[in-house]
This record gives sequence, C-alpha cells and structure tokens, in this order.
Amino acid sequence: MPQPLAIFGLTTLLLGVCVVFATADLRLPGNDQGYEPDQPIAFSHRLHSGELEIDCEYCHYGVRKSRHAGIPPANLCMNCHRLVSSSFDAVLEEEARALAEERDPQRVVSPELAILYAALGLDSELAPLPGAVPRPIEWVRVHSLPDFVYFDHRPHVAADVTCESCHGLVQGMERMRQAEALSMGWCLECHRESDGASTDCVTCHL
Amino acid sequence: METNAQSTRAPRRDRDPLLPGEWSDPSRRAFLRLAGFGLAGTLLGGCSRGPVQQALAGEGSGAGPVPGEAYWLATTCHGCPSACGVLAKCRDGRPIKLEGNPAQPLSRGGLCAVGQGQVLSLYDAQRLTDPRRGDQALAWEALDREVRGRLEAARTRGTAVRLLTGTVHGPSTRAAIARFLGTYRNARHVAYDALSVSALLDAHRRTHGVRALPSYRLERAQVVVSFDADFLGTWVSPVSLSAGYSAGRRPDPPGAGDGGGDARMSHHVQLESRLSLTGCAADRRVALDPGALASTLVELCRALEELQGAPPRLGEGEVGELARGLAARLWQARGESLVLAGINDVDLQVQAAYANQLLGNYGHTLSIGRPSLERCGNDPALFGLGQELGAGRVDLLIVSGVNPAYDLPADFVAAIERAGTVLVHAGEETETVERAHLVAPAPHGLECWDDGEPETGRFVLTQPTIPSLRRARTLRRLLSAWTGDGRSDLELLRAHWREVLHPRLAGGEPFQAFFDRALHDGQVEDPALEGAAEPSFRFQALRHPGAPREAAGPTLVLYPKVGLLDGGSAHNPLLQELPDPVTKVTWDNYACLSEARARELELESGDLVRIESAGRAIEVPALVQRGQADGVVAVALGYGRRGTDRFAGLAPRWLEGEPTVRAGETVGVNAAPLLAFTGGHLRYEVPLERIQKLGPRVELALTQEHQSLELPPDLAPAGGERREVLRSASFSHYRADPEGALEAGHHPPPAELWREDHEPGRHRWGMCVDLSRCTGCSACVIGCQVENNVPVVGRDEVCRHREMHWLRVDRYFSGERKEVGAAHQPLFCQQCDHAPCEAVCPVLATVHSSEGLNQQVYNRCVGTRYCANTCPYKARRFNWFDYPREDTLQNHSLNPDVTVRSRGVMEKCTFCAQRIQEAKSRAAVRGEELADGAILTACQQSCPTQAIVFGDLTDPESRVSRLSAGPRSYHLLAELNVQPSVAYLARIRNLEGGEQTRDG
Repeated sequence: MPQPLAIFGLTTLLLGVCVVFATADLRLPGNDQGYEPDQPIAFSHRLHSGELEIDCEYCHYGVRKSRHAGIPPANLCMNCHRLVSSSFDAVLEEEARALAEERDPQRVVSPELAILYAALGLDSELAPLPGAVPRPIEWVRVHSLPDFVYFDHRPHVAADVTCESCHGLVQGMERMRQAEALSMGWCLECHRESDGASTDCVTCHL
Repeated sequence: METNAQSTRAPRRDRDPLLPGEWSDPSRRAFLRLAGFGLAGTLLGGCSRGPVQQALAGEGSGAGPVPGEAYWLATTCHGCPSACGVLAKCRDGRPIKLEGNPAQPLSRGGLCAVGQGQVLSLYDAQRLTDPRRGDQALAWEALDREVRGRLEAARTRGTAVRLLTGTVHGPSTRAAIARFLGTYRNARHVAYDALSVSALLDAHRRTHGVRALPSYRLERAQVVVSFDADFLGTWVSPVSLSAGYSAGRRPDPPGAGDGGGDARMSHHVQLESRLSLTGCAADRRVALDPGALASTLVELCRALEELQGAPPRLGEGEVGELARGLAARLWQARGESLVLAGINDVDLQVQAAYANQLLGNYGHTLSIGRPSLERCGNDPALFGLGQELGAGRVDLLIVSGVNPAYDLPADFVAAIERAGTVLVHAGEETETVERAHLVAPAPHGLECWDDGEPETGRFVLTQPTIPSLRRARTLRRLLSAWTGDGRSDLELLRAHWREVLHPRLAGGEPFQAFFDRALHDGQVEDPALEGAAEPSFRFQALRHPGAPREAAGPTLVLYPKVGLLDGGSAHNPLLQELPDPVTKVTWDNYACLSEARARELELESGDLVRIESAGRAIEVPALVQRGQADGVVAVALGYGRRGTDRFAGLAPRWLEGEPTVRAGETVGVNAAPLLAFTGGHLRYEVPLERIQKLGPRVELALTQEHQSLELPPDLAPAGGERREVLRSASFSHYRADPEGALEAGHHPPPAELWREDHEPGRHRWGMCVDLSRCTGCSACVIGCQVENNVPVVGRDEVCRHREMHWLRVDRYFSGERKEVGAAHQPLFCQQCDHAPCEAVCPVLATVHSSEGLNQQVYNRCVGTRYCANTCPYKARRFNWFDYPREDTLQNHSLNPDVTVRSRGVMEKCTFCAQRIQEAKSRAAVRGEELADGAILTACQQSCPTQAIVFGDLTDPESRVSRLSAGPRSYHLLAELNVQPSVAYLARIRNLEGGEQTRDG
C-alpha cells in the first residue's frame, strides 16, 4: 500500500530534518539568558567586584577604548596575585599550624590560583617553570552576540549606561551568568526610550 | 561545559493528532499541518544553547593597544620605489588597511591602487620562507657561510661579483652597499628599473652634469605638455604627480563651493601613441605615432628657439602647425610651464630638457638642484652587465628585489644563466628565483625596518606593522652579514641614522627624540636643501641632435598598466581584477589596436593575434581601442607572471564555472621578451614586424558595458535617449558664467511619487565627487574593496557581469578621431532619499536610516534582487556564491568591523557606515561633537587628488554642503528625482578658444 509508506517516508524525512537542525550549530539567537557555564578557574566576581569593590574597568580596561571591554590578560591578575596567592583564612591557618609544628610558615597557593600560575608558566614560588610556555586561559564565553551584530561598549559607557544594566548584578555572582536576553528586541527596548540612542540598522549591523 | 539539549521528540504515528487519519485524500490542509509540524520540530531543535565558545585574552598587562582598538603606524609603501607615506591601520597586532599619510609632503595623503593592495600581499602564504640552495632549505648561517666562501674565493681569484638591484634610495641600505663594495673590490652594483626612465637621468648628465631625475612641481605649472609620459597613471610617481597636478587645477572662483578655488587652471596637452590615463585627463590630447612624437618634440624646441631669439642650435628644419601652436602656448607661460617626455631615449630627453631650459622652467616647475631619487636605474650599466654575463665573466650574481628573468629582454634572460652562481634575494617565487642557485627570502615592506630618500634631503622611515611572518632578511642585513657585521636590522638602521643623519638633520635634538619624531611622522626633512642651486644648462649637450625619427612603419608599444605596473604585484588578486581604467579589461593583457587598424586587419576585440618583433612572438587577444595612433599596437607589461596559476581555483565551483586560469598557465602573457636595448637603453617602442590574426577567439573580461546607465533605445522617452551622465564645460566659459555654463538640459518638473516622510535626523551624510579632479586612477576601487571585505570573484564571474566592486569607475569617451579623450566617473550607491530600492524590498532588508543612508541589512536579505533591478545607478551587487579566499592566511586582512557577506545576499556601498560608527563612538567617549572631516570614507582617504569629499549635509558650513551648493554641483540622473545624497561636480576642461564640449 503506498499511503502508509508515504506517511512513513514523510515522517522520517521530517524527523531527519529535525535531527539535522538539532545537531547542527544552528540556533536561534537571544536564547542564552541564564547561561552560567563552568569556567577553567572558579573566578568569583562576587569576591572581586562585590566584596573587594574592585572597579569593573580595572580588569575590563578596554571598555572606553575599544568596542570590546575585553577579558583581562593573565598578567593583569598578577598585579595582585603576585602577592596574594590564597585566601587570608588559609594563610592564618598555615601560620597557626606552623607555630604548632615549630617551623616557618610555607607559602599557601589556592588550587584555583595554581591554575593561573601554571597558565603563565610559573611554579608556586612564581619562578618560571623550565620549558613551560605561557598559554592564555581558555575562559568560556558567556556573553556572545551573533556575528552580524557589531556591539560597541564605548557609546554606552559614554552615555553613563551602567555595566549592571546589561550584565546584571555581577557583584553578587559567584560564577558569571548571562543575566539578560541580549536579543535585538531587548536592545531596542532601551534604544527606543533613551534620548539620543539610534534605532537605525547600521548602528549595529555593519 | 554546556551540553546541547536534544529536545526533539520523535512523532508517534499512532498518537499524533496532527497527522491526518486518512492519507488517501491528501488535502492542502493536511500538507500544511505536516509542514507546520516539521517547522515546530525544527524550532524545538534549535531552541538550545549556542555552541560553546572560548574567550582568550592576549598577552601583556594592559599597556598598549587593547583588543579591538585600531591604531595607525606611520610607514612607507613598498609597492614601487616612489615610497609614498602610509598610515597602516592595525587591529590586534596586524595591519588590515593601508591609508595615505597626509603628513607626507610628496604623496600628500594619497595612495595608489597598487599601494592599497599591498596589505593582501603581506598575507600571501606562498611567499618564500627559508633560505635555500636549489630545493634544499638552509639555515641563514649556512647560507652566510656559503656566500662568504664564494665572495672570498672571488676576491682571491679576482673574478667579478655583481649586485643587481632595483632603485635603492634608502640611506642605510646604500651605506651597506657601499661597505660591501668596499670590502669586495671586485664587486660592482648595477641598479635598474623595470619601468625605466634611465634616459631622463642620462640626459640630465649631458645637459646639467648630474645624472639625476628632476623633481617636478606640477602645481606651479600653467601649461603642461607631455610627450607620452603617463604621469597620472604609471610614470615615475603617479601619486605625488597627481596631487601636484590637481593642485594646479582649481577652476572654482574664490568663494564658490569649497571657497578654496582661485579660478586658476593649468592647460594640459598630451601627445601620445595610445590612450593613457593622463591622456584622458588632458585638456587636449593628440594621438601620434612614436616617430611623429619625436619629430614634434624637436620641432617644438625649434619653435621655442625662434620665440626666444636664441641661436638655432638644433639646425634649421620644418616646424609643423601643432608644434608651433604648442610653443606659443608654452611661451606665454614661460617659467610656469613644463615639458615632459616619457620616452626612454636620451636624445629625446635632451630635447625635452632643452625645451624646459628655453622656457626657463628649471628651478620653478622642475628642479635638478634638489632631484628626485625615486628612480635611479641605469640602463647603460645594465646593458654592460648583460654583455658581461653573456661573455660568462660574472662569477657571482646577486639579484635583490628585482626580477630580471621576467622583465628584461630575452637576450638578457639567457645571459643570466651563464653566471657562475646566481643568488636571488626575493620575497616570493619569481622567474629569477627559478634560475637561482641560492635563494635568500626578503621580507615584505610591512614587516621590516627600512628607510628611504625619495627626494634629495627628504628621508622616510618604514617600520614593521607585524612581527615578521617569514624568516626573511633585508638587503641591508644580508650585505652587512657578508661583510662580517652581525648586527640586527634595526641596529644597522639606527646606527646609520645616529651617525650620519642625526648630526645633519636634528639641529641639537637628542638622537632618541629625533628618531622617535621621524618614526611618528614617517619622514624628516633636511632644511638646508630648500634653496639648493640649480646647475646650469650645458648647451654643448645639443651637439648631438637626435636623428630625426621618421615614422618607421608600425610600432609595438609595451606599456605598464595602472594596477599591475611592472608585474611585481601580479600575485595580488585585487589588482588582477581591477578593471584597467581606460580599457576596462580585467584578468588579461591584450593587443590594443586603433579602429582603423582593426578594420584593415579585419579584427574584432577578442580575436587572438600573433605579434612578432625581432624574431620573437607572443599571442594575445586583440582589443579595439579608441584614441590610439593607427601605426601602433600596444601590449601591457606585467602579465604572464610565474605563479599566477594560483588563481586556477579562485572562481566559485559550479556546473558552468570556468577557472580564472587553467592549471599551469599564467594570467595573460609576458610581453617583456619583446623589449629591446636601443643605444644602451631599454626601449618600450619596438618595431612591429608582423601582426597576424589567428583562428580562436578569447572572451575578454571587459566591464565597460556592465552596469550601464544608458537607456535601451526602445525604452527611452523621446529626446531622452542620451542621458547627460557626465557634465562638463570649458574653463573660459565657466569662469565667465559659472551658472550658465553648466545649465542642465530641460527636463519636465519631476513628478513626486513619495511623500516627504523622512524625519530629519541629527546628520544627513552626503558626498561630493569632483570630476575635474578625478583622474580615474582607481585607487578608490581597491581602497573600498580592502576596507569593506569585497570579494574577488575571478575571471569567469566577471565575464558574467558579476564583479563585486562597490565602487566602479565609469569611462566616457569624448572627441573624435585623433583627439579622442575620455572622462572618468566614480560610481557607487548614491544613498537616495527617495530610493527605489527601499520601496521594492519585500523583507525590509534595505531601509532608510535617520541619517539619510540606505541601509542594507545582510541578515534580513533573502536575495530577491528586486532592489538591484530597480536601482537606476546599478550600484548594487549580489553574492551569487560565497567567495572564500583559497589562501586562508589572507583572511587576516579582512576588516573585523564589516560583515563578510554570504551567498544569496545583496550588498552595496554603505558610505563606510563602520567608519561613521567608529567616529561617533570615539567622539562620544571624548564627549565631543563630530567635527567636519572627522569621518573619511575609504575612497576619500585614498584619493591622490582629493576628488571625494564626505560629510554632513545638515551642517551648512561643512565642506560637502558648500561644495554641493556650488555652481558645478549636479545630481546624476536628476530627472528621476530619487534625490541622491551624492553630488557630482562637473568636469571643467581648460580648452583653447573657449569651445564647449559635453562628454558623455
């Protein structure tokens, strides 16, 4: 009978199409809200930005110069982590233990910072490891716009749009999460209302 | 790691209510249900996270440019020896675009097409990587050892070592050569230029006692008479000469338009054998055979002698009407005139020098006291080297930066093979490298330190814009290593600047500050040379009057083309696909014939012909070219380069696709073997022995008829068959009556189809193109292509009218027979206010911006091509294919601020919207308003004559507003009332007798 065969054939075809689309890298943009991937180093924005109140622009220093705010290079971390190699509690603990064991306290390196030092080709005493080549840390990108969108941080910073308006309350995030939808509609909500922001296509699509 | 959720569920046949129960009656509704189900499934499949991306930070600790921030490095172009100043735009540590350096007083911010294309040549994966002996790779130390061994052996034996280079004017390289020649006394240095002007230098040795190339000040010339010198296109230094030329042609009365005009315009007469770019720009152009050109020059000198009352040093002779007229015109402007000759013949160059002397031009419009060093080649020395080589007397031949096996006459090429050892220092595979025993890779000009002295006392610096991509060494480093000086390239250069130039130029400034300033500006000048004395003219030079050259039958003229010059950039696909501004042919060379000659030989464009001269022959397609002397057949040099078979895979692969070249073949044919040494000089005009039609026809990739603005005759309204596309007027008429001279033809008041519903925005971007300044040099075409990631499509696609250039330069002939001239008109999206394209797009992919731009949104476009059909200017381009670059290294030159368009998408000029956005962002961060002139489009930036002005039309004081309101301004196809944002300024020609012309 041709009819069931036709139905079966058509269904298989559609199924095939669905599977192809599901497995290929074709995704609708703007659906990454809440994305919170594991990172190679458990870097805490809550600690750095919230507790220690380090200015966002200290690390993301490109934000007024370039369209990208930028991921800080590992050397920038070393401005502080040359000296700070673990939490203060861990240092106190080691000192107490050293006192009890009647020895000099040792340098304590937290496991996360050990990854940073390794990436820079340094040992725990910050001496270059023989034969090691510094390699960039492979952070997992959280905020990613489609390739045909040319977002520029500069005019937003210049217009006093706060970092939190788009990136959410980073000060409270233990792990970086995409707080907003970052869809075109979401951009336009703001662009339509604010004075001076353009809704021309070429503002973002070049 | 984020896992991609697989949320697709298999539809179950038995339970799914979407499926019709009875398939035996397949209705439309059932089909739609099924289709809807498929779509829903697809969407569900797509509703998961995107792929995981890595974000890597660079090295460093926050100093220096940040990722994504563009920075500009002042350096020097290495496309030819003219050493134009360049600002290399770099992003993330690599150059992506070259722009002219406005602070450089010779090139004045211009950069030609070849210079614009250099950034792609840098990322050529096929450049030479390692030193080698034969096919065997060597370490530099091993090569040094071997060469030093051979040099020592040659010194001991007293055999000849010869260093053959192109023009070298870099002071530190010259010093290295001098040290090398001092160490090895048996070595000699010979320099030559593939496009030689040696006769001009040798003539000045006779007339002024110095072998030098005069520096020209065309802006001071009231009358310019050029004998076959294509100084706006290919001769010596087109960028700086074009800049000077256009500075001397400012027809607007003071206050009109730009306000910068002084109602002064030079009169330019071009006498030439083939239609050159310079001939197109000329006010008067006469096509003459080379023989007639020579005799006219001699007659001109005689006529000038008569006018001056000087003793007739050239002897008595006839003076024709043409020469007498020219002499009278020149004499009126004596001291402010210029006679140029582009023929590489010493006798003729002596005549031209004599004419300038009679006119008192030395020290005014040309200077030999402060000569140019842009060409130093010495043909007699080269000829002598050829003799030596032929006799097998050269033990070691070192060839650096030139390709003699390609661009010299066939006899010379044969002689090279008789040298004991040939060492070639070159950047890429060349014909000479093929014949080399030892190969030393040379760096690209964008990845090395270098210096130059294009004009006496004017020093330029080259700095690397990227760490070297190859293990290459400069000539300076190479020669120093062989004389036992192992210093690095930068150390050598700095040492020379510290020891020689700093004491002379700095005036007490500490060295580091002096060097930094020179590096920042790209150049430094010797103030002492400003008032250099002119050597006096030696009349005894005229004791050898040139034998009157009668037209000795048909002549073959070998000429350089604007994009390719001597073929040094033939591996650059941008330049291969650049339409020749005069013939509009891409991807080929051909034999240009006049219409009469073609009729006589029963030839049509595309017929393959065989051309013979001095026992050698080439086979090229014919091209019928207006404006060419009848006795002349012209073939372009620079083609047939080894390695152009790399373009075999350039075209998109599809059923009917043809490769750009067949594997193993070259693009075009090398015509250089037909060159000849005459009297020790390279002659580009050789006797044509035979031209013969062969059977086959070749389709030329000719772009002239593409995107034509002409109306099909059957569609044109009565009286409107001929559209006035390019408006022009004579200078005298324009000066007398600026408004009246450019009165447009009568059109009925245009009907309005659109409502005025565009809200006035903060800006309205507009452009002005001055057709009086435009020479058609096509630098803008390549500048636009590099800036906007416009793909190269290959020869076959060009034949199918599918070239992608956003900016094309249209050519329009004017005049009749011998006096045929041409005008050029750059054409691109006119950003109409009432744009027809916007009205027809079914998906709103092309819409109007609040700032007057026609936005093209690639991610919305579905490729209906309605917009291209409706565009009256034919300015839209469709991506019939993806055009990936075969050499993926070249993707590094892509502009990261512009989308690479994919197949099925329409594209067009955006007025460099990314540059507008960039300027706005920079201004926003600084808290400033956008200043007029803060945004330069890519075409505007590159223009050597500053013919293009971009700006804001809402600001009445902006340059573009003032120019658009000037008397010469008109809109193209104004009768259509699409209200373009681009205004053209009518072409003014300084015609004699005030006659009126209309081009178009």
